[in-house]
Amino acid sequence: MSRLPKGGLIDRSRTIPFSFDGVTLSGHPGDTLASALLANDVRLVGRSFKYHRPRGILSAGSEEPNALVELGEGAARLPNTRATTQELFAGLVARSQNRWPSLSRDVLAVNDLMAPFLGAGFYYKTFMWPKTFWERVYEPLIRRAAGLGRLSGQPDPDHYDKGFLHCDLLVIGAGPAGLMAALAAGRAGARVVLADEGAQMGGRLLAERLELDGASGNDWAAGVVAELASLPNVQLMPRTAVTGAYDHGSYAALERVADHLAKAQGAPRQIFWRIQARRAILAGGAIERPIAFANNDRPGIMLAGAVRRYINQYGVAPGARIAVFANGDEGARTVADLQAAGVEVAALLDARPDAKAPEGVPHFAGAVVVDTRGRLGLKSVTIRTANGGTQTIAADCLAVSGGWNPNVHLTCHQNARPVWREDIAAFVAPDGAVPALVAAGAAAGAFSTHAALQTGLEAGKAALKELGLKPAKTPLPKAEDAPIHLAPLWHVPGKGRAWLDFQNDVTVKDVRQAHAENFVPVEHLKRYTTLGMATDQGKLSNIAGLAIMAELTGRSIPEVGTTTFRPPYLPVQIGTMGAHGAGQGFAPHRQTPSDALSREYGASWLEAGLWHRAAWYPQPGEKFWRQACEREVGWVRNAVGICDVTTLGKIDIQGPDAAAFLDFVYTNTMSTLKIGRVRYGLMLREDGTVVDDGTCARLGDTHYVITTTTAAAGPIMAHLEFVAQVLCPQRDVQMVSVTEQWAQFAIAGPKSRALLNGLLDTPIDNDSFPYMACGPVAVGGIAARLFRISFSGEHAYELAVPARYGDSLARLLVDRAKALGGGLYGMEALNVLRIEKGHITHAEIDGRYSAFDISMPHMLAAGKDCIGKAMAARPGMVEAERPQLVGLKPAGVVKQLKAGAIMVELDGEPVREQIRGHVTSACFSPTLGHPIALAFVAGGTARIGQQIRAVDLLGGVETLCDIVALPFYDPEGGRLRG
Amino acid sequence: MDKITLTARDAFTGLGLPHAAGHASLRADTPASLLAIAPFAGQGAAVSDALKKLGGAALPGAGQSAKGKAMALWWGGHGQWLALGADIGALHAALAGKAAVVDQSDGWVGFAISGSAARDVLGRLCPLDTHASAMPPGHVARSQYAHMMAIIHVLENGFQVLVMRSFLKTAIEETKATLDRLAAEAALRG
Repeated sequence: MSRLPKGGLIDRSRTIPFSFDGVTLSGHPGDTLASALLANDVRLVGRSFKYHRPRGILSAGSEEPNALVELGEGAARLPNTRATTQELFAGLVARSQNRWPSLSRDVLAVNDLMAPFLGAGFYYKTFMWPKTFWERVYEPLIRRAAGLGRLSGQPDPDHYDKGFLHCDLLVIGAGPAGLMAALAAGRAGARVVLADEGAQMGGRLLAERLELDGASGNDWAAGVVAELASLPNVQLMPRTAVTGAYDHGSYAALERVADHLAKAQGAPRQIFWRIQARRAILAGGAIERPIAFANNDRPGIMLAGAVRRYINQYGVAPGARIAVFANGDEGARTVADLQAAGVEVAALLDARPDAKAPEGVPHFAGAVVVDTRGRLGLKSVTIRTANGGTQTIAADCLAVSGGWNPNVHLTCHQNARPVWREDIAAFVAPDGAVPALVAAGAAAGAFSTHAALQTGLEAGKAALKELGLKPAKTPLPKAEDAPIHLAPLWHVPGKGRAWLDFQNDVTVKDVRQAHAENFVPVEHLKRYTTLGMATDQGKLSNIAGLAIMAELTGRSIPEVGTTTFRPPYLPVQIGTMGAHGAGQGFAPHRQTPSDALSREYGASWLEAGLWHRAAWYPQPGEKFWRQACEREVGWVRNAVGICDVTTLGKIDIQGPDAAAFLDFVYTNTMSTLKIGRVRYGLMLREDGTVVDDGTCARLGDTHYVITTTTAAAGPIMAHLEFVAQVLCPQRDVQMVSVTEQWAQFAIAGPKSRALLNGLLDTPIDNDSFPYMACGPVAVGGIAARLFRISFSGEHAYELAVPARYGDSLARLLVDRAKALGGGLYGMEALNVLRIEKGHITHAEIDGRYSAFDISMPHMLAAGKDCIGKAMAARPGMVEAERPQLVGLKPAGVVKQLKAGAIMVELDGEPVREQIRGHVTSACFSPTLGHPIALAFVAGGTARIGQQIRAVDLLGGVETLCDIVALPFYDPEGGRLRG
Repeated sequence: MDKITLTARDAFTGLGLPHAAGHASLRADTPASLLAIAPFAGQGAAVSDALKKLGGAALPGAGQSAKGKAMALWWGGHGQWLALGADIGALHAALAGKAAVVDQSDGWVGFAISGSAARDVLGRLCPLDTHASAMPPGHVARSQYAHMMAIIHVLENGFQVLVMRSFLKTAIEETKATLDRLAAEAALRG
């Protein structure tokens, strides 16, 4: 066991079991999976992506590239979980990934022997030829080899949630800087959200042996957190990573609510937050840099700060005999912590020739590591001393520090580039790159504890000033203020592969190769070598990679520049961002007034504009939807059918200028419409294409109600508002959507009036209610509206009652229709009826066609202007060869007609250049006894009586067609007026 | 001819209200009547006067509401207000020629979320800042609620949410699920 006898912030009173690769182990509450594995002497935890190199734990944070595991079992299995941030819980099950058959014996480790052939860009060179191999051989091969963890392939059984937060100040990171900023703002009464990735707030204070005002860093942090928790205006969000900085002060954050528990017990496992912050402070700390040297990727080689965190926070010694390799004072700090914990220090290798030797440890100033040994775990390191000699030092752990990279990511999410600071040899956040976001503490390059506290306090106070709040007294605690002593060291030159990107297996040699092949700009370097393209997004590798490119090109690091920083900072599961979006949660579900009734009748459903509309109502013995559909069509043609048409948009338009306004938005004239009458209307877009059609009923001198198609109800309302507010604000007109206020039913068929007259308080006849009449009626004393309009071509009405009565009215209508030999009809029958009549829907007016194309040039009323009129008159919009709406019926042996089929001349080829139009709607007409279709055909109006082919390339169907005039059914319209 | 009777269907039928979980509860709360009032050009003051005479109040400012003896008035969007609980016939008569008055009593249905966790429920479903400093009791906003358009009215101890009638089932299902998840979450967070 590597658990130290004392120390750490773990609860040693309790022991909790977990398993790794099927072996049961134990840890303590407060452990991460990584610290518990180290405490159990598990050093080999994974395999690298390309070479399948044995890998161990490198870090103690979310930057971890190696220690990725599959967590959980069955449907809940989660791949690529970072062991370094996964809190331990009783019963945790983890498996290593990207290995077969086992972690210690992995067949694909053969890749490592092939490494000379698998360097940067090998994909591009190897898989180029022969071309026929690409899909059949290479792709399956690459797919099998690619990827790390495995998805379960089953729906995720857990809950996730999304939420919104609003605050005056968002503080990102709860280390010394973040805590200080939050304290200053919290005391002053600002609404503060303090978010930190860790389970416990304190950041670096938990990992180091630091004193603040004489107390331990951990105790000081706990005190501040307790005070913040007591403030009602402060929201503490541990286990929350802010993942992106977006426009106008909005931030994304991932909260891991229950990832530290075996069962979420009904709570969301994670919440994806959108945070709106007036001000934000990035106090996200810094990430330690590795140093590239030959075989620097062996299990046991770790970042020095991580070694300290495992000792100080988790009470775990990552090795029994630890060597330290650094280019700055972090080396001595690490040695001191190891000594304090009683861990044997093999040696301190300090790359600086002038480094001072700490006491009680073999010290090598000016020494570097040139190689390591131990395939499944570090055994020794070979060093080159200042005088050029080599020496081998036995060690099972090597703590490495190459300096620190401030966590500037969020400040660069809006495409800014960080700024190089020579004094700390690191990139820091650029000023003002994200409005109202500033960096503080190590994220701003303020590395000492004192500097972190001070910059945090200053940032907090500055935010208060900008928010117009008075700062409260917040004294600065006393803390160490050690200056930075560091000699930049990115890699140790020499033989052997020296890793930069551990996860994607990118080495110094690969960067050299990219340089040699002229992939010099950082963005090219990244793509060519895959540097920084793994799940860790190069948190540990990007800066080192470009530093080496700087060396190779003789430029400075800032001249080479960084790649683009993009959200998310951490991997976020798509399932979390799309919480509740699966299955029924995908979109709201709008119910029609006849929803319950339709369910009782066993309806099948169609979705339109979020409405769930009945498609057809099957009856016993009907095996196919078309049987039900054709029966329903027959009811309408011969008796009477009932259809819920509530979903069509209804807009109430009132005002002294209502008539003039409608004349402007419709192509035809509505001001001449008599009160109590309805007119069909067409609307154009400004570019002259048809945007929607519907009816316009005049209820009073200054009062109209218009209808839109179902899916266009919202867009047309927005269009009318735009016209009223922007195009003609001088018009005194008001509009209110009444789609939901009225339940409306079509009553269609020769027996429709008979049905109505058994229902209305006052009967109607052809004189009192002729075709295209409308007016108020009453049903059982309830005020209703009746419209004599027809989409089916039959003698038909639409009856509207307040929506609460819709269910009741639907039931009455259906009972009466059944008594007359009819009943409910759905969307499929409605579609057949309207195709037979040549009526258009958005299958025809899809945004490309003019009134001329749909044979309605007469709808463009002369003597007045309307939206789109001028543009509709452009020569190109009215030329004879434009596609025009015609009817089709099969003329040959093949009878099948399918929507989407392209029109091709008899001697033409079904190729793009020869397409003469397309079929927009097709059906089998039970009334006519054969298939029919609506189609756009170039110059179609003049081609009635000619033949053309409908070619459906997807279905492999080709149909010889007669071009016929519309409508197919009752061209004189006698049935409408019955 | 036999006697025809239309019966009103309660929009909440089968939706399982009231519902409570953790520190929030959910109940139906639809106004007795709801009329949209959109004054014609230059008629704002005349409409306010007529409303006051009718036992209402002057048209409230953006995001505001006002309460009279005979009705409550909510701001309802650009150039539009809502009268709640008013006598429909009387309102039509009083505002004839001054404003478009459109009955919406069947178009919108409402529910109330109350309790100490009500704000958290809104925080999961609505992007608005519902903190008391931004939305005090009486405040009215039009916004989205679980991807649906909604009118949100701040109560003393929670929120009244109005959605279009056809969306009610989804709105209630989403809200109930949120209450349940928040209760489970509160238990976890301790």
